Amino acid sequence: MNEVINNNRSIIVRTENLCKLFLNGKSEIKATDHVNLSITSGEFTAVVGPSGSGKTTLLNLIGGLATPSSGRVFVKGKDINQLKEKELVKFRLHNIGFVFQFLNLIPVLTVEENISFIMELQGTNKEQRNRRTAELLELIGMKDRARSRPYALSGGQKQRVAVARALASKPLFILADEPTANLDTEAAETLLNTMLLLNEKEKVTFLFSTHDPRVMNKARRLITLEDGRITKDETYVR
Amino acid sequence: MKIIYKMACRNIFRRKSRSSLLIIIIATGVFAASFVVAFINGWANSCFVEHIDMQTSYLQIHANAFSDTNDVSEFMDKQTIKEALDAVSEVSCASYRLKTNALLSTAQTSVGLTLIGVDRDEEIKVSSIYSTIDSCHGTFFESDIARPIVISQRSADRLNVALKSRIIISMQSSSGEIQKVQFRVGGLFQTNSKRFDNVTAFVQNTDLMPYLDIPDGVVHEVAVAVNNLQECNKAKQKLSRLLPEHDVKKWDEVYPLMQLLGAWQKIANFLFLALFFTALAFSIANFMLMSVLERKGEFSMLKKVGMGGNHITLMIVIETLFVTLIGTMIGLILCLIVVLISSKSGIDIQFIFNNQAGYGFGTIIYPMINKRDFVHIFALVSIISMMASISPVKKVLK
Ligand SMILES: Nc1ncnc2c1ncn2[C@@H]1O[C@H](COP(=O)(O)OP(=O)(O)OP(=O)(O)O)[C@@H](O)[C@H]1O
Ligand SMILES: [Mg+2]
Repeated sequence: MNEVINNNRSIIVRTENLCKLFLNGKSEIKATDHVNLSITSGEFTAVVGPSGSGKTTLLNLIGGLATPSSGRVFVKGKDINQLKEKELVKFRLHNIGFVFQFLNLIPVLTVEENISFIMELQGTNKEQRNRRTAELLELIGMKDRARSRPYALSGGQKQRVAVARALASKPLFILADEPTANLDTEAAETLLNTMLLLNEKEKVTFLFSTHDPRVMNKARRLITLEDGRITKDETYVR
Repeated sequence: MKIIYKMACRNIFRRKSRSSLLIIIIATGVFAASFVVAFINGWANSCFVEHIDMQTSYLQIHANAFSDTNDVSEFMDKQTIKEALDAVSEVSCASYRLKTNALLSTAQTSVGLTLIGVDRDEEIKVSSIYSTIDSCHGTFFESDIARPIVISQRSADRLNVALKSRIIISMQSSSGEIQKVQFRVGGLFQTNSKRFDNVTAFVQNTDLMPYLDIPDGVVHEVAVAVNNLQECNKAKQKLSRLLPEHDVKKWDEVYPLMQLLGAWQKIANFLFLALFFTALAFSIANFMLMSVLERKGEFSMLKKVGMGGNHITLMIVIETLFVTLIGTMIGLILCLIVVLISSKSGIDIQFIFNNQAGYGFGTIIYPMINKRDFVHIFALVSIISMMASISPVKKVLK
């Protein structure tokens, strides 16, 4: 059952005293330290904080790519760490879209094949796939590059394709760890605008990390981490 | 899952130089292995063909009680057999023979052997013995010598006789009486089999008949030629049915060592291939391991976005299989070409075996490869490429 809050938007992710410890020689590093946080559908949220503050760790825990040392992650009310490895892979495939900092695209597939890749794994039929791919190519402004291979794209274009792939199958939410870190200002701006556009048009939920101030400015909610703890959590109307 | 195949295939062409190197290695290996198989096949076949051609012909018919001791009194009615043979379409011709044990003596020495009484015109259609007699060694019953006998050059050496020499032949008639008859050497044959040469001599039916004390129109042995080797079994079945009182044997049953050789050839081929391909599997595994390790980041991304272990396994297996099959195809085509070329003129292995040794095969080998070998090779290759995928898959899924 989805959890519902007052303004009628459902909570899709909720963490409960989420901790992740790393052993560094003899000392223990609390990469994530008792994090309690909820993400509601339709959010466009940035996780920010200095390097080593635990942004990547937090996103990995929420995405089921890492297991917490203690605490729990609920997605759609379901404790994802209760799932078996195979179920978790399937759960990710059907519910979460991922955008990484680099190495997002499959080099042997064309842009359109990359976009429809997740849908194909899910078993979506061809007609639906093609329609959706065409629609997204249009939205990210890369219709003319449909048949290009990833090596022929700029960093910004690659990231836009990655975003398109992540949301092609209309996942519950999209996790993006520093999607703009490798991009210059202009490309970062374009990517963010694309993400915002998709957030508005398709009501996709975005949770991304960044330490780029210009990117932060576009976010509607800023969660600030320091030493694995949330020190600030602010919502803006933009 | 079309996308998986697409990715697997394109991955192969991603590192062209490495993939081509692997394909060349596999092709070379498959070529070498299949050519050895073709060579062994050709060798065994030359043994079989020589054996059939010189010694047994395709089928032999005897009276049920006729045995290795060549019982003169165990004869068959020629007409009965002729009728049966006429009714079987696979049969091309036959030679009706008399057969008895005999002692050949000269002034110095004597040897015991099997004397075969033949009709020349019938015999040359089922056996090529006559063709081994060259012009300086007489003829196969074509001269005007009275009571000619054709013996092997080896026997002639042992008896210390030459063409036209006199030989006294002692044999036992069906009533048990010992008969002594004088023959003259009319021809000297030579096969590649020492064993056969030592125990075989030919005379004409009409010269032998009077001394055996047997009725007219009977024979001891019928050598049957069929249209081709493949029809042997069918012809044997039909004849067995038509001649229930008789013993119909195929060439490899007449001399069971041939059956053994045939079985050995199949086992040797298979073991050889299996061994060879196991070695090949290691180099394929190694290449694939390198290839997936290079793509570690990519695989980790695929796993993160939700590509399951099954799909990843499938992709790597297809990749391996595809490379291996391309290599195999090239190797087999090469082998086929070389076999086609070398089967025209043959490969002379005189330098290993000299012809005088008498092992029972010629020294020119005509390599041959057949459908069954191709199927074996493809099956083995598919198995090894699965085997070769195991460690790369494990590496990626870890
Ligand atoms: N696999 C690991 N083993 C040990 N320590 C780790 C590991 N991964 C992360 N850490 C530590 O956990 C802390 C949080 O790391 P994390 O990568 O989450 O930070 P981050 O906020 O993403 O940093 P950045 O902005 O540089 O990407 C760091 O101190 C880091 O050294
Ligand atoms: Mg990070």
